[in-house]
Amino acid sequence: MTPEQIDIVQRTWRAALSESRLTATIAATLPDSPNERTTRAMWIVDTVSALLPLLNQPGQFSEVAERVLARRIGVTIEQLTSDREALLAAIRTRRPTDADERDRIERAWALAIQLFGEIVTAACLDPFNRATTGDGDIAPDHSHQHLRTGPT
Amino acid sequence: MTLYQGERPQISSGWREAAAILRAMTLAWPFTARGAKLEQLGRWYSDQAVGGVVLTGPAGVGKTRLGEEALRSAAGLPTARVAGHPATRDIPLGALVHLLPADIARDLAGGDDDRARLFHRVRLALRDQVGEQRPIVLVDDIDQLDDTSLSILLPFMLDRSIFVIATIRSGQVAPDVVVSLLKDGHLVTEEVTALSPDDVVTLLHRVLDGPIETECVDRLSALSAGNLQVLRELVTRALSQQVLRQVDGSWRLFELPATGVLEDLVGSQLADLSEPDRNVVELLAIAGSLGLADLETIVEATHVEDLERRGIVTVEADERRVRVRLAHPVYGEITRNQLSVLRHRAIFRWLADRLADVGTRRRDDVTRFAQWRLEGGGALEIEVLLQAARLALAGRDVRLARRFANAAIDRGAMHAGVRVLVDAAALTADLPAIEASVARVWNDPSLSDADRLHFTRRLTAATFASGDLAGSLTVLDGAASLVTEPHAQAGIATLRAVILAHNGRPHEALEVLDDVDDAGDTALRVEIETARSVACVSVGRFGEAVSAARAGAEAQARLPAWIARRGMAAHLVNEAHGTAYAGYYASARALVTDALDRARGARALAAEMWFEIVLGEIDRDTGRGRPAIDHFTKAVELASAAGQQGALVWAWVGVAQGNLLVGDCAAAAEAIDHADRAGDSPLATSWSTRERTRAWLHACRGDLALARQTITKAAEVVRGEGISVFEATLLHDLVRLGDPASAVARLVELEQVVEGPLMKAMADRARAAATNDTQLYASVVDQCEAMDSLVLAAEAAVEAAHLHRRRGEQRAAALLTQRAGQFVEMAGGARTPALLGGRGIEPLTAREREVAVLAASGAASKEIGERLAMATRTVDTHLGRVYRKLGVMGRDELATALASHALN
Repeated sequence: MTPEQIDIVQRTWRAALSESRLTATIAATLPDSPNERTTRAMWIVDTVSALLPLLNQPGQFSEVAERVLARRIGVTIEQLTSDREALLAAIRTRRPTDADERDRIERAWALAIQLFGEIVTAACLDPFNRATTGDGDIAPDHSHQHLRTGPT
Repeated sequence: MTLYQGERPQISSGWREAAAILRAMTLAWPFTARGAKLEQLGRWYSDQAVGGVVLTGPAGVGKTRLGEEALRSAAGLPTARVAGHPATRDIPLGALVHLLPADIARDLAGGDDDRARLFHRVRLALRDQVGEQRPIVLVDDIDQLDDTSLSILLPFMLDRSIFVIATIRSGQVAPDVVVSLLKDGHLVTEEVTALSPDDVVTLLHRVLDGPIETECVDRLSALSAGNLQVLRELVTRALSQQVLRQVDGSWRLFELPATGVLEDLVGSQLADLSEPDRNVVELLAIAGSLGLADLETIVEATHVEDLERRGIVTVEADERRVRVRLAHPVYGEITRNQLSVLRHRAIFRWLADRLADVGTRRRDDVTRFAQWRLEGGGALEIEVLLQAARLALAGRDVRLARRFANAAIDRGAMHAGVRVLVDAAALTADLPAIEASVARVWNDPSLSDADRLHFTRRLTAATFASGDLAGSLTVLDGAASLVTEPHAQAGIATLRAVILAHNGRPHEALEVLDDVDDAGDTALRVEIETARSVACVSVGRFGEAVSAARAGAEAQARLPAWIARRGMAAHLVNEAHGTAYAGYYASARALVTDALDRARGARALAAEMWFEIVLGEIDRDTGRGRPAIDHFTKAVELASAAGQQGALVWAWVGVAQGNLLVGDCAAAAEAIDHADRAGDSPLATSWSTRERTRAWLHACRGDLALARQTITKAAEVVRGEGISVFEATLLHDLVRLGDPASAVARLVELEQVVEGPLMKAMADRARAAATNDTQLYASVVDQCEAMDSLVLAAEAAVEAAHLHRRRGEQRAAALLTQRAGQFVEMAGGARTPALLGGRGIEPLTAREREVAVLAASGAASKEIGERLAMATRTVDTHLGRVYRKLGVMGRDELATALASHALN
């Protein structure tokens, strides 16, 4: 990703976070039951918020990112794919008029989500079911730390 | 060849660069883009029907890495790694020896040659190591495994006591045993392919631990063709040679690294080329591709055939010509790097000369010719440069267009070059770039009025689109003071009228238009009529609006063929608006339905979208909520696909309005939310329409006071802007929301201004409501029915029925109520406050609905109680609530009320 693309992603995410319906918009596209959808949507919001600051240095994991990822051990590629679609759908609701700008935003987010997907895959994919939770459920966040501060 | 044209910065010794170099050169690269394959391996492992998988793919693509990652992911499970190698291929058990107990290994080394006994001991020893969980054994290069090792592993695979992940390069011959296992389904194959360009972006982002310039990643991706090994070689070499460096926080590739692996690879392929063959490769490295006929003018066809046979070039035929290109981008990169600057220029020049000799026959020839001349020198006419610039612009290659335009400017074509620069900036809606380019020539007295008009159009459009109406008018003021030719003056005046008409200042627009003469310019006539039509619709001069729309369409048809059809839909939409807003809904519907069919046939997305919107409006205004929702929803999809933000707002608001008609407050609120998120539209009408919709949402939720307050405010604003048609609609809404007194006087005034039967019906309804005139109400019902305005007819009938009921005229009341029910039924169900007796909608519970339906069918309370297993008193309690919610007096009105409110 280029610095401009990183800037676009961080800017549009900040704008998206300012919307009260972001989590609901993401949840609406997810395939689970209503309760699971909301939990999963909140995890997506937390994860993106935690990973966004890492775009400039993806190798520098923060504690926040590690803790968020630790809540989703046992994720499947299918789940990640639907996460990605839901996230993109939520971002698309704020698309600008200009077609080129829209393309730039889509492109930047596609690359960011691919990077996030790789980071999440590395941390959470469990192809041989080695993890104790093992079913991709999202563990509750007991940290009580407010993660939705957005990228800085 | 230098990839970056700018000055090469000083090398810094930042710790991030050092860390990246260390990471890229010494550590394992992050496992990237293979998650799905890894997961598939896990699924096969869990499937006892599968004994293992053979990963196939070219060398260096990442097969072994995938297998190793599988072993890492399986931590906690028993795993083993076995590697085939030419050096151990002939040594029995050479690949497995490290897995065997020490005594067996010792005996092997000691020359125990009782093969049968040894085989049995090894099998038993391995069997002992297999516990309850199936071990995963990675067998790298299985085609290089010794036969004995393979034979030992075979029964374990067959009885599924181990799971094998084997790798084999594409093109290698698999051992017979493996072929047999694949054939019988014991093993499956999985192809590991090269990384996609996006995969490379992600991988490099992780490896280099930071952002990367697009050109850098494009080059590395193309050069490596997604091969992990080649990519790693390129990156580590580039880092160590300090040609891949961070600049302003982003990785940039200054030049290709000298890499032994690549140069060896390419060098070995190109080393023994004959002089003619070498020439072909060099030409293709510079040109990208060339026609076979062109190449045959310098070398015989046999040379191209030879290069194709050796896999250095590919020959592709399309319908018109046969083209030759290098088989892999790396050949081009390496060859270009080996060319001297003079040789570079000589080739560019030769290519350009060659093209000049045969003439530029194809569109892209002009562009290529200009490019080659710029690189190689030689005569290059300004007109060719400008033509190439315009072609690049047509192909939306803004960077190339700018390059040609700047070259043209350097050669003296300032005005024409700036024109291209402005158009290029307009393509990306880059207002500052448009302003900067225009500023270069704006004060030049020699700038023609035609050019000044063109720049004014671009600048005004971009400024207006940015939401700066005042700014766009200032631009027009400035331009008007500078142009002297009548045609340019008319063009600027028309632009002003277009902007004013679309931004809710219709009277000013019409004043401007009164003084404009098209001076015989058809394109200008189209703009004049468009502005006039839009402005006339706003002020309620519908006849004039329709005439102008038709005149606009007629003028549009006289334009050159390539542009005649573009924008034609706008005239039709204007005509439909003029027709529908007057109240001639059937005519408007027929006009647009026909046009929609044609637009769909022609796949004219934007036209289709606007026609859907107009049909949605007609359904909305005639009270057909569901069809309106369908049309507006379709328009939302089309607007999203076409990137039309203004229309998207309009369409979402329409979806909300349709839902409000059928009483679905939640869906309406959600749609308004979407409209708000879609942003602001520069179209003035969108604001008042949105406010009107918010007011109806308040009404839907039962807050009529807030609804009326919102409507009143919006009506005041549009009155100030002179948009009479919307003012009349909003004031009529006040009547519909139960406040005729506040609206009647102004509606009567507007009746003198706004044309058409709808305005008369609205004013009459206000009069009837203000004076409790049942006779006038009856006339309003008839007027609305004649217009096909079903909900307005139903509302007027319900209000009239209430008046009759209050006067004790039950028969007249019942007849009107019945008529209202019929209108609502024809509309497919509607729930407006007027239909509900002035209240917000309070939905029936499931139990109330059951009771109401039975009561409406004629069942007595006792019978209902028996059927629903409840006391008669409870039935009556439910019925009482139903009457209250539906605003009816008794059972005789229940059936109609249920139909009216679409409770089914």
